[in-house]
Amino acid sequence: MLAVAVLWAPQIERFGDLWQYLQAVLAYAVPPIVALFAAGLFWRGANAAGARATLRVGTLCGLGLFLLTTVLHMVHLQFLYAAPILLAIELAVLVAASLRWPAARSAAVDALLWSGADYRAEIRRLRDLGLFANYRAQALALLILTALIVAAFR
Amino acid sequence: MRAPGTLALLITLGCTAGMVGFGLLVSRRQRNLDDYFLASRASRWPAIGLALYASNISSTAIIALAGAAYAFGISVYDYEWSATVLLVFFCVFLLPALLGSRIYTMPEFLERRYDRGARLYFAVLTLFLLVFVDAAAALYCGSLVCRLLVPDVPLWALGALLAGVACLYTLTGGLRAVMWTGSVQAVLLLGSALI
Repeated sequence: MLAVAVLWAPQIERFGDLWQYLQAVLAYAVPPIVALFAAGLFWRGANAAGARATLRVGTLCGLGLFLLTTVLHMVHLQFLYAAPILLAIELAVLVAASLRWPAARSAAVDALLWSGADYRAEIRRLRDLGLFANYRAQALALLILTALIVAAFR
Repeated sequence: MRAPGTLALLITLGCTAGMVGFGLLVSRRQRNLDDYFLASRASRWPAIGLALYASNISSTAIIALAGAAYAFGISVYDYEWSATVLLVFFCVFLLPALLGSRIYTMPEFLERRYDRGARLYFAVLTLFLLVFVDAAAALYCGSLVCRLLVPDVPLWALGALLAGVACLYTLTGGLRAVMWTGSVQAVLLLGSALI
């Protein structure tokens, strides 16, 4: 594995900027997983048949678009636009295929769905902690710090 | 580009030798798999945080991000700071539900929610990204820096050397070696960034 990485590393020079290379590859490769995760967490209807179709179409679309834009330079599309476009296509495929081949409702899947109950239980659990041990207070502090840094360098 | 002085060469060699020696030193106490993968479950939060910092905001980020910012301006930093917002959203709104259903990893979620195929896809994708994005980019960066010191050696040879050194202490030392060398590197990175 590492040998492949060693062989591949000098090729990065061809893509121009290293940072653009990192972001571009992620933008084309990751959307199918985002679609499966987001829909899987919030929509009961998403199922295995839908997931299979999504991964197939998503891989082909991502690979095809990557070749067209980055390797062949036939289409001009910034990779930041590629990610939401791919995600929209894959979500549509997931919904369509899941509806076309519906699966029986199962308790195992129900347990994985997002529900407000977990969120409210967490509020009760955190109430007893001090401000510094509460990760929500820490998260808020982090957001404020980030906003300050962004404002300072704007 | 200005040729680096002997001092820079000495500092680099010293740091490298120190890092490898330190990695080998902390890797001596290994008995079982728990030791190897989870550092005997004895890591405390400062070491975890620093190691996470070093492996995330690595030399890759320092070199690539600074380069991109030099070319395009501070807007490239958006990619990093927006991650804070996203992670906070994830921790506050999504994580309790996932922990509640005893899900610890993404492949686990994909398998239980869909099927084994989805999990396999994720595993293959992760390996692909690790090899072609993370490892390759880190080696590329490292060899770029090394080339400043020894301009005559080809890029791939430098990359191979760096990979060999990293393998040496990761394979022999497991997570503890990675954590400790990671922590020291984080301090070095932050220190040199301040200078």
